[in-house]
Amino acid sequence: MSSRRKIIFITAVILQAVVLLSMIAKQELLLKHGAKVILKCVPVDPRSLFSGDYVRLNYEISEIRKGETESEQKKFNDFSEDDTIYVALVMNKGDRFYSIADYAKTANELNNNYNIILKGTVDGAYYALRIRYGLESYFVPQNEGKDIETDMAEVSAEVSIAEDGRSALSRLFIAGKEVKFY
Amino acid sequence: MIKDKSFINNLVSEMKEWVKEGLISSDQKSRIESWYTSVETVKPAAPESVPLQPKKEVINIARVVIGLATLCLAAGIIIFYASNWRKMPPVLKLIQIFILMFSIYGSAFFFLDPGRKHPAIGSALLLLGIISYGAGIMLVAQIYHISSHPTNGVLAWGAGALIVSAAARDKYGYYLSALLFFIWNFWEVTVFGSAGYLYIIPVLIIAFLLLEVNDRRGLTGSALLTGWYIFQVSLYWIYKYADDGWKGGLFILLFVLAGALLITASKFLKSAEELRGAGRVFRVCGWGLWFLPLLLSAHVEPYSGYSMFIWGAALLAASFLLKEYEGYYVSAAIFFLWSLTETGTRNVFPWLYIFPALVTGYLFYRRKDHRGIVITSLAIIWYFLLFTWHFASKASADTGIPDPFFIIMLLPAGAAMIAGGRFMSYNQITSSGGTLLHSAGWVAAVLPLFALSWPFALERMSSLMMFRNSIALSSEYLALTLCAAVLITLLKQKGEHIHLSLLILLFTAAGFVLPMGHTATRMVSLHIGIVVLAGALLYYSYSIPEQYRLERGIGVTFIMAAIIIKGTGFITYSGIDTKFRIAYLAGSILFVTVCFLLNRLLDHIIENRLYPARIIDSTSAVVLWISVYLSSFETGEQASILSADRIVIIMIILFAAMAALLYYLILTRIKTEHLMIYLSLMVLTASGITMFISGPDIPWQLYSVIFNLLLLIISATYIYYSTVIQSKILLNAAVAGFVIHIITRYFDLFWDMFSGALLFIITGFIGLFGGYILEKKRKDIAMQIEKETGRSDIEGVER
Repeated sequence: MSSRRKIIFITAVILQAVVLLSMIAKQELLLKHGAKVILKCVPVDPRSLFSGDYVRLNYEISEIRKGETESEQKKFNDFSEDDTIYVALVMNKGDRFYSIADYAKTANELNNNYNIILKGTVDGAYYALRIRYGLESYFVPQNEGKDIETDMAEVSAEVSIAEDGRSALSRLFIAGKEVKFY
Repeated sequence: MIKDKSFINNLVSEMKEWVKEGLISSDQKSRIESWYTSVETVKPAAPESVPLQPKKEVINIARVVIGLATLCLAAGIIIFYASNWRKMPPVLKLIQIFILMFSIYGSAFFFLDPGRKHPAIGSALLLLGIISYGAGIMLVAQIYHISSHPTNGVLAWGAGALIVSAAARDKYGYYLSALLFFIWNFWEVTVFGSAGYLYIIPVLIIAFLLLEVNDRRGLTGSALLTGWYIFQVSLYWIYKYADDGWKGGLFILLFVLAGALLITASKFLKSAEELRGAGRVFRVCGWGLWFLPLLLSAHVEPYSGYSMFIWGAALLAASFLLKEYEGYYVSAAIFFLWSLTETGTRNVFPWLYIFPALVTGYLFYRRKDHRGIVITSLAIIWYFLLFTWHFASKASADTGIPDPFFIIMLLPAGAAMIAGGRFMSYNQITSSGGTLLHSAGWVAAVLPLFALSWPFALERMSSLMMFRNSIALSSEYLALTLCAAVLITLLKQKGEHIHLSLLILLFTAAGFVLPMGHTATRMVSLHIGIVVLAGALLYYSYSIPEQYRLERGIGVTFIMAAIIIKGTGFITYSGIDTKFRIAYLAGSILFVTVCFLLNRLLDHIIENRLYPARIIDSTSAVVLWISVYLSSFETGEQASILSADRIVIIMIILFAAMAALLYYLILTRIKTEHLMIYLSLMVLTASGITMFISGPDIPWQLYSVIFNLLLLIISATYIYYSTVIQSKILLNAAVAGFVIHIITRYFDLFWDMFSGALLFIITGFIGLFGGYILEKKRKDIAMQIEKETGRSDIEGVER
């Protein structure tokens, strides 16, 4: 290897490390500085719940139903598959969970009225909007997803949300108790 | 011969010993030496096999072990992190992966140094390094539960792998990067539905890097990936943008152009040794693009058929320019498809079709392509059919004449095709196409004779000469006739025998002039036509066999078809129109008799032993027997033949006259035994008389008696005749017929006249007993014949 190539090689390896570090840093910053919200999970078909080494989570906020009023319906109909969607989250009055107060195509439309805005992608738009936030997989050690699967009705998740709407999954709870594997 | 250098060296040193021992002389030794060395110098072991040899020769066990170990380690690393080992907190896992990555890359760095002489271990470690980097990405995603758009992780992995491999100039690293980029692209395209445009960038970079290290296999692989990219983007465009408007046409042009570019590129690539495989892949991909508009067919048809025409034309031009001659066939097929959709789905006459047909024909001719000319001939026949069909259905709609009647248009087409086909056979290149046209011409010329010689009501049809049914069809008829006439004149000048062509031309002219809608005219002329054509075809083809090789088969088929088709027709009509049952069956007997007599006469005149008189005789005999047999049953009340249509009487007179003429000729000219001739005369006369006396007041028993008697006589004569000509097959057939006759009679009398039919029952029993005795006797005769001739296949005996 010529010395020039040696330098390139070393740079390449360092670059790879940088990629990994930046991924870690991004997530860490998000978890640290993001607004913490707790989202309630809803049970999904138990047979497809646990696949491989992660639990598939489904949230109350994963679905938006068509509203009654004309303007609501117009807003709903604006969305089609693969569109980006921003939802504004507010804490429920009765419990500590968050749910959707409003939604829009850009974050700016919601900024004035709400503090916590979560970014997602429309996965399907028929009778309801199905939304994917990137928070749907919780990785667990092999063969340890069974408990979560069976108690899904009791499951909730803590999520960090950055100002621009990006989010990261931080903790998982079963009946209010944090799930810990180590 | 062994070309291995070490072997030759060993041989030379060994031979020194042989000379010492006196096994070979020193002269022999030098001759053997020069034999090996001269070959060695003449053929210095094909240049490309030199670099190949070390590869093939050395199966380096160390490399194999290293390879397998790398595979195991790679799988181990990935599975270990994927299992999400619970004993370790995430921070430790992250630290661990960094340590792993740095240590593997560090050792790779150490071993990849050319001074170390361990390139295989270096490569293996590099690959493991890349794997550990990927494991790191997966680990981070796992720890932070990142699940949105997982393809980004693969992209980051592939990019890292490519850069580090480029730094190490390692081809296995390139392979792995190519695989990772492929996974990224495939995932994006299939799951996330993106077009994957950017995929070409890593593919090209990797191809460039592989070119730098002269890796032939890798370059071929890169070409495959490029082909996949083109295909993927094309599919995306078709799915996303193509419609049945001008865009469809534009896409077709684009695909043909892109295919042409790829094929051109493949020709350049082939000149370089390490790019030869890539060139081959490009050529296949180019052809794939040329076929891609097939996927567009849903978009282009039915309202914009022109896109298909564009496809064919563009493909033809491209294959001409690139000398990809197989493209001619493909574009011919596309134009055919185009014409089919035009007529089938849009009901438009694709008049333009003749141009591509002629252009491809010209190109085939230039290439001296026999098969191509056959295709062109088919295309021309197809064009004729399209034209005729289109205007026939139009004329049918306008005038109410049923369109099948326009099958008469086949007559001039047949004349022109026969003459044209013969003309084409003068040229070596066009002769196969000529034979096709020639044969098709005969089929065309003969079909109207069969199809139209029935008493349909077609009064609205006027003579074609009047141009009243359809100007287009009449003009076409005239043009084809003229064309045939010109071709026949040219053939005459070449010294061809043109009697048969002239006969068809005569028929054609008659078809134009005569009022074919008039039933009597049509029936009389076409039936005369059938008999005359059968006679002429058989006579000329067997008298001048070298001129009419094709016509021989056609002649025999034609007369057999005439007997079978007409016989079946008569029998069918006798079942439908039961008032004239006897008349129809007698008509069948009359027609078959004429064919039989014609055959006898021809057999006498033609001095060619190949003439298959026996087959025609047998067919006539079978149809005759069936007609008589069907007449022997109980019949309802018959109408007098004199009350039938005038045409029936005319036809009877016509055929009776033909039969009389033939009897006269045979009985006066032929001096051999006349048993069968007399039998046929008797059957014909008896059935003729019965036909004329049949009427409302005649009891059915009279017909039954007459025809039963005839049937018995026929069977008896056949049996006797079989012993005369020593034919076992005829004997068996005749006895089988006789047994069928007796059994039927027994049963139909038993069932129909149960009361007061004791006499018939007894007769039946006697008949059965007689049949049994005869059957025994038949076996004896058969055995006797076998003994005399000394073999069992008697049917081959001479007449």
